[in-house]
Amino acid sequence: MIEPALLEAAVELYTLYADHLDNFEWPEWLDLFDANASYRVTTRDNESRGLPAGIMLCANRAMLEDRVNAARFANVYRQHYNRHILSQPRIWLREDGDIGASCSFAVMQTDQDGAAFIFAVGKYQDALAWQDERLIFKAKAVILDNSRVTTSMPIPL
Amino acid sequence: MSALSIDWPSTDFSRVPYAVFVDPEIYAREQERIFKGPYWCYLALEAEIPKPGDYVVVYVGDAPVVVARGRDGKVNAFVNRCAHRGSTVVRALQGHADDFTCVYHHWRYDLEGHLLSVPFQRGIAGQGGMPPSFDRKCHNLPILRVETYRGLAFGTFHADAPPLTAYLGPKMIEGIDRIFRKPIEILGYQRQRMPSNWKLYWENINDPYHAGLLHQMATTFGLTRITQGGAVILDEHKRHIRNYYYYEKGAREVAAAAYAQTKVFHDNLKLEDTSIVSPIDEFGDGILLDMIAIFPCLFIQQRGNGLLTRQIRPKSPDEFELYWTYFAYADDTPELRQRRLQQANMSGPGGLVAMEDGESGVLVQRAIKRQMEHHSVLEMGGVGPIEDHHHLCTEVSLRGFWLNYHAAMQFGAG
Repeated sequence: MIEPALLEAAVELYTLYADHLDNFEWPEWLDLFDANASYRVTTRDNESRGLPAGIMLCANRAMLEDRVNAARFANVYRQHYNRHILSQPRIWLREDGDIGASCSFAVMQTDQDGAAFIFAVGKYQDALAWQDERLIFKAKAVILDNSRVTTSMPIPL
Repeated sequence: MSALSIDWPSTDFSRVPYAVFVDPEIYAREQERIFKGPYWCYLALEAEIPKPGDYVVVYVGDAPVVVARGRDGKVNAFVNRCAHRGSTVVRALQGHADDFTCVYHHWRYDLEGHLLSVPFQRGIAGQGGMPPSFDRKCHNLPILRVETYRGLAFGTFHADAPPLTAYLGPKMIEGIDRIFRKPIEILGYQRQRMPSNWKLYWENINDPYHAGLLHQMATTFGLTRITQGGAVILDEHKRHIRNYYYYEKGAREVAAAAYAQTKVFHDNLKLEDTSIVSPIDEFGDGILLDMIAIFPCLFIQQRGNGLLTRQIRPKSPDEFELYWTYFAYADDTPELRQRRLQQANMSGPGGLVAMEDGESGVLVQRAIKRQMEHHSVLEMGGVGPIEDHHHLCTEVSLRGFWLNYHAAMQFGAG
């Protein structure tokens, strides 16, 4: 039985995650990760075959911040907005003491042509932990059902 | 006027008519003359199908092709289209099989694409069945010639393609031998769908001029700057290209001065974690980035400790898929394996460098839609003879591509 307070805190974490990301609120978004949190994006195809390479791989929050800064200041790509639609998270208690969480997502993208399309669909497969009476990410894996990406993926999902 | 008789205004291919990126007739002819022409198209890495019966489904041009390892250990390739009524025979993208059965009417083929059996060929109780004249041997799947070199499998539909090693030529083989010097393992795949013409991507990858300008992560962190030195090497037919870039020898200040007239060198951009821009020279030859492009659809790349192939899979005049395969050496230490995985952040659809290669093609495709009578300009590095350049301030290899493309397509020949 998952305590209602735990589920509520997890819902709050995912809600903030999606909203900060879609609003480009980078310091607030990065603050949802532990300093040692890993972040990776891969496809279901790679994951199901046990293949370690993916689309993004950040070993810690500093690397994730570098990715964000690359997207903000260095990389060249089409202007676009992402919009995350998330499911209710599924929560479980892991043997290592962290909290396991998974959550389905769809990301719609709107570009300069003005149309929105489905850019990515998949699930988060995460480890969470309490910090200062809130939940944060200890590890995050973004596993895409869509094995192909349209044009490029400059911004984390 | 048919686009197939378009005007190429310069014999050194320093002008490229935009029609080649847009016109459906040209696209259709490419499928026949290039992807089914006397050239070798990359199929897969042998490491993807290590055991007899292992298979992957790939594309040669826009034709689906099964690549399977036979019982004799040889690599086979055949078109994934049933000889009966044209159904897709192999439906999974990869796997292991003893033979292949089309689900529609259960025609069954062996690992080389030969027809093994046809259900109810003799009919039922003397009724129906195939006519006595039906000869199974005449209904194999369309089979490609396959040759392999250093674990790379290539196929061709054309009887006149030369032996593979002659096709690759000694200058490309030197580069392939360098990267495929020991046994490899597959690390993973990426697929990227680009709303642009496949040849714009070929141009992009083989153009070192853009690399030190478009990719600001790479210029800022010394991964590809025109100042770092390198070479553009062409095979004897000028159709394959090897670009390599050395590790930066001069100080960051030297590069900053050379780039003073541009806005691509960010002195204030810092990395919190520099591991992804700190490769080790495991080859010991000072080459940071080595890219080998094999006409018409393969790129082989080493960037630092990142190793990969990219295959172009055209879909239509304004769309292609890019298929990325990441690999490592089987004898990697865990530390080196981790470096390869981290440096993969530079490549692919989320690549801190490579993402812009896809974007650039889209920018061109969008702008040239109704500009069929206009041409692009390829003069960086000089005009006239198409030859090797031992610097990176050049677009010469693109002219080599267009020379071969033009010959293959037989423009003006109806």
